[in-house]
Amino acid sequence: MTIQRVNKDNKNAISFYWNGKLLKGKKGDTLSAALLANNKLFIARSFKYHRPRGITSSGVEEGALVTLGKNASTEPNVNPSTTELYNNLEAFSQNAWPSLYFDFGYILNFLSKFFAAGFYYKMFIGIPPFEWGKGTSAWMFFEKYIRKIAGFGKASRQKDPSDYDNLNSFIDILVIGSGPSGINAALSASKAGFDVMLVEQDFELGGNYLNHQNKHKLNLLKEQLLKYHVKLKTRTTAFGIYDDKCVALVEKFDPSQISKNKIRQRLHICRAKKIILATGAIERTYAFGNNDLPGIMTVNAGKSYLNRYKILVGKKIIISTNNDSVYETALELNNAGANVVILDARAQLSNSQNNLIKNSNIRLLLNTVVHRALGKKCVKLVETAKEKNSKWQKSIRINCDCLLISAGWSPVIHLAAPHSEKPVWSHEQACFLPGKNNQDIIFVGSAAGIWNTLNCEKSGNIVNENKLNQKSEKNSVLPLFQTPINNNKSKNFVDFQHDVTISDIKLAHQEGFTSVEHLKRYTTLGMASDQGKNGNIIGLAIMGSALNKEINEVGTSKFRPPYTPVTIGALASRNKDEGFKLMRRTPFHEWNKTKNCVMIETGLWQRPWFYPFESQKLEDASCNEVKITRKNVGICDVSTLGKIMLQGPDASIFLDNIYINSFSKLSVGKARYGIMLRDDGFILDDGTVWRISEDCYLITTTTNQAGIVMSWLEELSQVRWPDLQIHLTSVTDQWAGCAIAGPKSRKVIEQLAINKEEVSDENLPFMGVKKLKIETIECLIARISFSGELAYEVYIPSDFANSLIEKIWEEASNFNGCLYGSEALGTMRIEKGHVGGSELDGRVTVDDIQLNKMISKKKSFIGNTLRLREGLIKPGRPRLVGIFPIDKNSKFKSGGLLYTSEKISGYPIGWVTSATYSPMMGHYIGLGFIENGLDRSINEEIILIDKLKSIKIPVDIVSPQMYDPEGKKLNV
Amino acid sequence: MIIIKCPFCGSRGHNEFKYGGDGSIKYPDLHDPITDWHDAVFQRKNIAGIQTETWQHIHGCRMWLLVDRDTLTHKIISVRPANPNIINILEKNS
Ligand SMILES: [Zn+2]
Repeated sequence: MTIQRVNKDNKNAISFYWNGKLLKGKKGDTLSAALLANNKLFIARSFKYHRPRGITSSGVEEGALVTLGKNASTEPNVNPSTTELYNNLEAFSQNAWPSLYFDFGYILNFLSKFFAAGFYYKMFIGIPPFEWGKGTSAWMFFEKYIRKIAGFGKASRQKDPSDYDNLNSFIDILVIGSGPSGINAALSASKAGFDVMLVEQDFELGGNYLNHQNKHKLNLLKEQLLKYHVKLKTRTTAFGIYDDKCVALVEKFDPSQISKNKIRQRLHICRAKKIILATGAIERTYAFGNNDLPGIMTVNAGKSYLNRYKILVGKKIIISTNNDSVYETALELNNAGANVVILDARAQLSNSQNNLIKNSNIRLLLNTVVHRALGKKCVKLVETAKEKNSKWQKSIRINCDCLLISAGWSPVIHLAAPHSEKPVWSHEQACFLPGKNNQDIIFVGSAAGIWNTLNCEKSGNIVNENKLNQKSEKNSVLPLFQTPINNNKSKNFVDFQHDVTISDIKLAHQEGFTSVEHLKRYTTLGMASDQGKNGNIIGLAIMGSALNKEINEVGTSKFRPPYTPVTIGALASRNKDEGFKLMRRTPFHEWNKTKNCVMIETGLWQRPWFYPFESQKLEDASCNEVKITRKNVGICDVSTLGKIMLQGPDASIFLDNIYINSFSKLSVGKARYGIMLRDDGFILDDGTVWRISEDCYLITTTTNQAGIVMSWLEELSQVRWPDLQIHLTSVTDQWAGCAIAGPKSRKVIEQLAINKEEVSDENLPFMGVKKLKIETIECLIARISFSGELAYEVYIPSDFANSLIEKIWEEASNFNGCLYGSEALGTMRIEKGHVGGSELDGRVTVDDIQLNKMISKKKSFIGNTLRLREGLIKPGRPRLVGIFPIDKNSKFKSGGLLYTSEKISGYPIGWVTSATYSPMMGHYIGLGFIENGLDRSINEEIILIDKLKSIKIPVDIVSPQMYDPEGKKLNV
Repeated sequence: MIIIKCPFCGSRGHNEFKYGGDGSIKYPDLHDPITDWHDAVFQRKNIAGIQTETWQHIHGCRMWLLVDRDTLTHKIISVRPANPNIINILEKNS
C-alpha cells in the first residue's frame, strides 16, 4: 500500500513518537491519520492469534488498538482513530513480543483450533477425555502463559497522576452529535428560544460534514451556532443515558493544552428535558477470508482520510459494496489519482449511481463480492466471487494495495437502548432501527435510518413538527454479511478486537448455543472495547443463517453504557483521596492536634485515637492513658456521639415506645441507660437519655448509629405515630462533649463549678443531670460512666469548645490527669464488659447480652413482640462472656473462633468480638459470645483459634465484668 | 438518576433521598400478636409494576414521603408526605 498526503506542505507539523521513533504529523490529524500518512499501516497484533492488524476505520468502530503514554500515564487499548494528535504524543503497538514485526505469539495463529469458541470454559471444566468434568489442572498450568500472550494492552500499576473534574448541568435540549442532522436540530431548537447544548465526541464539530469535500456549508452553520448561542462541547462523548433523562458525558480537554497537574477530563452529568440523538450510523464490513489484513478498511474511512486529512489511502483501490453510499467516494478517490475498481454485490445500479461514475475510468463489476484477501502484512490481491444463475462461484483475482468495504450502515442507537423497546430489524434497509422509547429521546438523521445529507438536514428541523421527516427512507441495499462461498482455509473475522471468526460462531451453534446473549458470552463476540460496533450484526446474521432464522428473530444483545470506554478516573472525578468522602471533625479537633493527638477514622469522623508521649506506640500510650485515668483522672473527646433533642408533651410516651426500659418515670434531672430494638427484635442501638425538663429529653446514640437512629426516629414520629406531639432535632454538632473520668474527676469538676456544692455527691448523684456554668458558659453535665470510674460527661456549646476544654485540661493537669483517646476508652469498656459496636452487630438480642432485666414488663415497645421468636429465645444461644487466656502471656485479637477441645474445626461454638491488652489485669482480655454463655461446664477446655493470625490458645470463659465487678469505683 | 419531586423542596435527584421500604405496610399496634408483626415485618410482595415505597428526603427537609414508583420503568407516579396529618394540612391550604 502506498499512502500519501495529497497536500505536501509543511504547515502545522506536529512531532510524535510511534514505538519510540520520531514521526511527523499535522495538527488536526488523528493518530490513525498520522500513522497512515507515515505509511504505518500495520500497527498492531491481534488479541488471540497475534495476526498483523492495521487501521480499519476512522471512528469509534476501529478494530486496532494502541497504548498511549508511558509509566504512570499509560493508557492501554486506545482507539487511534479517535485519538487527537498532539505534540510529543507517545504511542505504542500492543500485544506483540518481542516486536511488532517479529512476534513470537503469531504461532498461536497455527494453533487456533485450541483457541476456538468456548476455549476458557472448556479449560475450566478440564480436558476431555482425561479430566472432563473433573477439574482444571490444565487451566492452572497454562493460565500464566496464556495470560502473557493473549490479551490487550497493559495498564500501569502506578497511580494515575491526572486530575479529573465533575459538573452537573440542566438544559432544555441536549443534542448528541454534530453532523448534518445534529447541527440543524440544535439550530432549530435554539432559534425557537430553547436552551440548547450540542455535544460532539470528535475534536472538531461537523460529524459527516467533515468527510465532505466542500466545507462551505459547515462553516456557515458553525457561524449560526455561535450567533444563536448554542452551547458547544467538542471532545465530549455522551456515554450513557440514565433514568429521567440524565445523560452522562465525558469531556476530554485539548490534549495539547494539558500540562502537568491540570485537569484531563470532566465527568458531566446533564439533565435534559429532551434528548436529540443525532448519533449517525456506522459503516459495516462483512466476513471474508483474511478480512483482517492491514490495508482493508471501510469506504467511509477512505473518504474521511481523503477529504478531512488529505490522505489518499492507496493507489490501486478496490471498493466492495452492497449499497449506493460508496459511489461519490469512488469518484473522489479516482479524481485524487487512485485507480478504482468497484465490486457491487447487487445485480444493477440506479441511474444516478451510474451517472456518477460514467465519465470516469472507474471499473465496475456487478454481482461481485470479495471471497478472500491475500497478502502478508498488507492486502495485495483480492479473490472475488461472482453470482451466475443464482449460484456463487469463485471469479477473477485483482491486484490492489487497498480494499475498502461497505456492507451497509448501522444506525447508532446504543444510547437509547436501556429506555427503549427492542430495536427493530429493517429488512429493506438491512439494519436495526431504534425501538420506541418511553423517555423524550428523539432520533434524527442516519441514527433514524435517514441516509442522504439533505434529508438528514431536514430531519434536524425538530421544532417545526414535520413528522414526515422522521420516517426512515428506502435504501437500495442487498444484505451482505459474509462471503457466499464456504471458506475454511483462511480465517473470516467477525469481531476484530476479540478475534472471533465465522467458525467460532458456527461451533457455538453446533454446541447448542442459540440465544444471542449466550452466543455473545461463549464466543466473546462483541465483548471487547468496541462492544461489537462492527462485528455484532455480522455475528447475528451468521447465527441466524445457522438457525435458519431472520436477524429479527435472532434478536440483538442489549446495548449497555458506556458507549465508548470511559477512564475510571473520570468516573471517580473528585471523589478520591481527601475528596473520597466527607470528613467530620469534632469541635475539639484543632485543640486535640496541639496535644500531639493521633486521629483515627470512625465512619466520617476524625476521632482522637491516642495521645502519645513523644514517639510512644499505640499500646504503650493507651495503656498509660488507662492507668492514669483509673488512678487519677482522664479526659476524652466524646463529641462524636449522636445527640438528639426530643421535645413535646408526648416525649415520654415516645421514649417508652422505642426503648426496652421505661422512661416516663424518669425524674427531671436524671439520666438513664437505654436500649432500642429494631422491629425484628434485634438491638439497634444503646445510649443514655437525659431528662432536661418535663417535656424535653436529650437522647445520645453511639457514634456509628447516630444517622440511622435519627432517621428511624423521624420515620416513627412521621409515619407510624403521627399523632404523638413530639419534635426531634439533631444537636450532634451543637454540643461538644467530653468525658471526665477517674477517681479525681469530681475534684476537677469542683474547680470548674462556680459553687463546689453544685456537684457534690448529694447534688449530682450517679446518673444525675444538671446545667452547669463553666466560666460564663452554660453547659450540661451528667454523672454517667462508660469507663467504670466515677465519671461525668460535660456538653459544651460548640462555639466555646476550644476555650473551655483548655480550662478543663488545666484543672485536670493539676490532678496529674491525662487525655485519653478511643483506644483507651475501648480498653476500659472491655474491662468493664460494656458492649460496643462490635458486640451490637445487628444480630444480637437483649437476652444475648444478658440485659433482659432491663426490659419493662409494664409496657410494650418496638421489637418486643418479635424478640420472642422461637429461635431468639431458644436455650443455648451464644451469650456475652469475658475471655481470659490461660497462659497469661498469650495474645489474641477480635475475630477468633471458640471451640471445645473435643472439636476444633467446623462450625464454632463462639467467637471473640473485642480484645485488648488490659493494663489493670496485666494480660490480654476479650469479650465474645459463646453457646450457653456462663452456664457452660467449668471443666470444659475452650480453645480460641484464629487461622488468619495463626493463633491457637486455650482460654477461660469468665464474667464479662472483668474489672471492679461490684462497681465500687463508680462512687468514690 | 431518578428525579423525585419532594412536596416540600421541589424536584431533586434521588441521591438526596434515602430509600425506606414498602410504603403499603400498616404496622400493627405494639401490643398486637406475633403473627401480625411477623407479616408486617417479613412478608413482602415483589411487584413488577407500580408499588408504594417510603423515601426520606435525608439531605433536604428530612420528611418521610410515600412514593408510587413503577419498578419496571422507574417512572414515579406520585409523591406525597407519609404523615397523614401533613397531607391534611397541605390539602386545606391548597
Ligand atoms: Zn424535601
